[in-house]
Amino acid sequence: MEIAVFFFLSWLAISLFTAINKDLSIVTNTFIFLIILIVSINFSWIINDELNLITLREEWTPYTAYLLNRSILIPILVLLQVNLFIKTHSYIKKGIILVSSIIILLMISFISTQLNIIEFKEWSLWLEAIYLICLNLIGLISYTLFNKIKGVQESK
Amino acid sequence: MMLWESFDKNEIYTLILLLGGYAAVFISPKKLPLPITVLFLTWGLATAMLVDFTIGGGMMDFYKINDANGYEFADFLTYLQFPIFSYFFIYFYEVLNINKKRFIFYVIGWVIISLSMEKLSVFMGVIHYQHGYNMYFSLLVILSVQTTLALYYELIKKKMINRMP
Repeated sequence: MEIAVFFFLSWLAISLFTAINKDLSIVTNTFIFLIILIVSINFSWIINDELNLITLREEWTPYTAYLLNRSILIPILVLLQVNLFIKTHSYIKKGIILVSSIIILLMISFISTQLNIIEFKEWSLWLEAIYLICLNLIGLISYTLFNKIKGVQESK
Repeated sequence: MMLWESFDKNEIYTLILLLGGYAAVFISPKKLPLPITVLFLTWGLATAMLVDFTIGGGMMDFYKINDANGYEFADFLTYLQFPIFSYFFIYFYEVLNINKKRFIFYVIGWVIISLSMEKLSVFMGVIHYQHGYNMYFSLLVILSVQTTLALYYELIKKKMINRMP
């Protein structure tokens, strides 16, 4: 059940990402994906294994679902948010896209707790929301940073 | 997160490799555009972390990095070695003008280099295999990672050429 849900969600996110018209190049998209992947992996490891704020169910199917969420679903959804955010020029739409992304990611965390993939010990959806806001902002900062690097190259 | 459990040969080995490796990255003649350099340095770090936090930790926990099973600062320094390898993988791919015919030999060459470096890391106490893991499993991981890296580089090269007027 857990794998089926997270496999489907990952497939859906990848399909949506593939289907949208992207203004960003494959190189920029890859860079943002890798940065979010690095943050997602490190953050989940620190709060699960080092600080024990969240516990994981030590069985193969929920653990695989957790890996799918950490390494594919979260980075792709943040990447989708960055692409849609950049595409629109309206500040209201940008705000809606950012808030929607955070709500969707929070819903996924909620599903993870409902399926007993993870259990919040000294963690809550509010703290998760703060982390997800930061993650989405890191996605946007990565985009700005990479553009600056491209600017440095072009000015040479 | 602690810095390290004890500062000994594995930490010294990591620091020497980092200093030598990044010095080589900075002094080597610039053959790749800056965004591509940054991308592949990031690629190396992300791949190292993805593999280590998937098969080297959690439920699988096939190997231990440095002195403890927990996350030490020395582990982070160890991950910083991998961008050097991904950078030079792409650097020499360009310098040696690797094509479809040379692709297999190039990847095999890098697999041999990577396995030798892993053997050295085991000897220096950076990697400790556990739960039945051995170097043959690393061969599968390294082969997959480096083939993906080369194929991805071919893909973006093709996209960049197609975008040129």
